[in-house]
Amino acid sequence: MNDSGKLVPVLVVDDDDDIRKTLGCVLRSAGCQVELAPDGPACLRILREGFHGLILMDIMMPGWDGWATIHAIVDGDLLQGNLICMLTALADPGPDNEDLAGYVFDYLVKPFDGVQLLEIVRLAGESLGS
Amino acid sequence: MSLPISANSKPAGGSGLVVIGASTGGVRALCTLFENMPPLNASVLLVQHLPRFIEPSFLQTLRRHTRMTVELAQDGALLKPGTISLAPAEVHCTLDRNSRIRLRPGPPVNYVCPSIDVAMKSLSSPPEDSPLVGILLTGMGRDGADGMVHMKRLGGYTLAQDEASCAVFGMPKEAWNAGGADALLPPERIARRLLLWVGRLPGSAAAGK
Repeated sequence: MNDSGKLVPVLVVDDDDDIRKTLGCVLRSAGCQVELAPDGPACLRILREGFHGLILMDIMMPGWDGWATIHAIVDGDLLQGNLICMLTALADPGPDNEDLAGYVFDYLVKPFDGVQLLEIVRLAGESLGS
Repeated sequence: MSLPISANSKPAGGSGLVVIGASTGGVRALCTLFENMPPLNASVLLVQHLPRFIEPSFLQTLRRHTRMTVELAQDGALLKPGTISLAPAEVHCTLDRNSRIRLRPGPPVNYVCPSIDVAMKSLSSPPEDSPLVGILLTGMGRDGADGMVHMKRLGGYTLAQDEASCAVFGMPKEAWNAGGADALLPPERIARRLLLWVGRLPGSAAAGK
């Protein structure tokens, strides 16, 4: 793995305060600019304000779950310039969300491995050309 | 000008044909696969589900992680040994006579366009001395499972990524359950198996990645 990929800004979407704080801490320590959203509507608000980068998306959230939030991102034409990685306790996304296969860049299961997480952040940066 | 191919012709140079499909988690898996692989004596067609806007930078990413040439597949072009041709976003990619690229718009298949199934199912039987290999990496859903079954029926070798190394085991699991994969392996071992089956590109240096 070369080091040419830069660290992109990361938007963490998770209803769990502890997860948001932990991810914020890990990612800022690695040099990322981090935005935090406790739910889908907050995620969309941040995207409309111009965020571009990697979105770390929880699946099981009250209100809109992660899949519904991705649908809203796509329907709202807010995907451009962003890649989405699921970060979830669900080891298997199941068969019900195949229609989103083309929109999900990567998938990481909690408890997450920090090395793997930063590899995804680095590859997302390379793939976004940032 | 007549085409330098016959009904069952292999790509020029007596080389093999490798079709790789990948979706969610595929960029990570592909980087590991390509970093462990010398230039192959094969033409490689890669179908990776990705949004169109990252296509140019994704090509650059691939080039940083492989010693093979990487190109965006062009309609009407012939696959080339030692070259990875990336199927572009939002069109289906098929191969005429296992060698000439065809790009056509069409409705999503398995919810995606390009579809791995569409690409793999366009293949025909290769000549005996031209290895045909299908590889299905990590991804949600079941795109590629039927294509792998088709490639196996043609006499091809088929490998799917194993569960432990997958971001999402969905597509490889479907291929395995359908009988479309000879083995489940991590990308590093898929790279070694590929080298065994198709060999190194003549003239490429033995040392390196």
